[in-house]
Amino acid sequence: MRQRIVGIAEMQVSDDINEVLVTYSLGSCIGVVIYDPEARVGGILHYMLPDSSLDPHKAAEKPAMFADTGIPLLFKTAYGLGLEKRRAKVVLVGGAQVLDDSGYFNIGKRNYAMARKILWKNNVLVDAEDVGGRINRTVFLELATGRTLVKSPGREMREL
Amino acid sequence: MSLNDKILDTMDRIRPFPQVVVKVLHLLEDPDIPASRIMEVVRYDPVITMRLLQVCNSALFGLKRRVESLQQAMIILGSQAMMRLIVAFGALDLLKDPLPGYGLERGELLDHSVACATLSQSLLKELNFPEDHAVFTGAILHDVGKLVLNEYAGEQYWEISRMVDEEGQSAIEAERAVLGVDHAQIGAQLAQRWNLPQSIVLVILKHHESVSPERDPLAVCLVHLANVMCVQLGIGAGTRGLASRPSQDLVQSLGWSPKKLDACLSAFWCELERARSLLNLPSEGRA
Ligand SMILES: [Fe+2]
Ligand SMILES: [Fe+2]
Repeated sequence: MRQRIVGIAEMQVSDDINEVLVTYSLGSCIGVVIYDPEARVGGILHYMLPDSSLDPHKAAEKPAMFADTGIPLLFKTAYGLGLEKRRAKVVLVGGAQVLDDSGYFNIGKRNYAMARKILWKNNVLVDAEDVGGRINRTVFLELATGRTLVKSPGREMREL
Repeated sequence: MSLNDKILDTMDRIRPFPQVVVKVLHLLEDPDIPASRIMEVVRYDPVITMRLLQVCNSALFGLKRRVESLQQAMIILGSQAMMRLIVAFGALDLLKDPLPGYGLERGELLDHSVACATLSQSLLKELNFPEDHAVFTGAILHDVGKLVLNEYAGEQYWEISRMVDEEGQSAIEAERAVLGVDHAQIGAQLAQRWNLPQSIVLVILKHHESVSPERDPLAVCLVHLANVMCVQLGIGAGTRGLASRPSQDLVQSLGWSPKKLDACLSAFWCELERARSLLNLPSEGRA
């Protein structure tokens, strides 16, 4: 099986059942994983920041950097390969935090809240999630089966 | 042998930081030093010279004529950028190995160090402070102590992790409690042995402390902040990196909102992509 890497502020969509999409080291970033078991189409978005109004110029150039531009792009691109919203399984991973009570370093929390808000507005349910805490996560999506696996250093691989 | 002796023994076996770069760093302590003086020193390190010329001749610059001398290279890169490349090339071989004691794969510490240096540098620019070479160099070397402690952090991996997960300690506190010493202290000792300027030793020593601009040099503060922001993004966080405590004094005295920090991150990302390609590092951050 071939691995295709989704970098930070990137998105990848595939309908190739020989592929595994993988995104490494989600800290405060969120990985949005979508998969349609019937069409066997799936994708991963790895965004960094919640809100593109921060830098519309950057958002135009790198939409996958932000939740509000990246999530619609992920769905739209997957629709192009035959994914249907009503069949899609959606998983959220990441949104971790450092040890901070001041709220200055709460990007993880804000990233997660933004994903929930956008998905809810678009009537998309989240099927599973592994978010928060202080761990670093790597996510794999097997295109053949839709299996979504999460790995953190020093921990067992877990399936969502 | 006691753990302390073993650690000292390991320190002896770490490959030294290139002497030529150490000389350059001392020259840079004088802000008025002419770049030509620095080039005279760099010439004596064939590996760094070759790497600098390679960058200039790479597709990144798309030049028609071959760049064959350091003088030409400096015109193309600009002297500040060239100094930063010299430091980064000097540290490249040292930092690329995997560190399983910290849950870091091959290339991850290097990428973390480059990211931290790039972000520290862009925070410096954001604050409109004058160029300070201790910022970039300190950031490149801030975690160098992990090379020494990797083996011992590996032996005590579960105990250190347990203290972080169950007792809510930060990674550096747990490491110090279990090993009797932490990677910031050991890194500073290494830097001292290598004869690096004191400004850089200090950045390494204090990068996890509760620093503030009232008490600490700017380079120390910026590297502390950049390190937290990088582990937060997951860049080189390894097993326990996210268990880092950002200095509350620092963020408060900067007076930045979370939105401002977001803006710094989005600006930094494009600079990191450029830094990775200049240094010929993989864009996913691991080798
Ligand atoms: Fe550190
Ligand atoms: Fe670090």
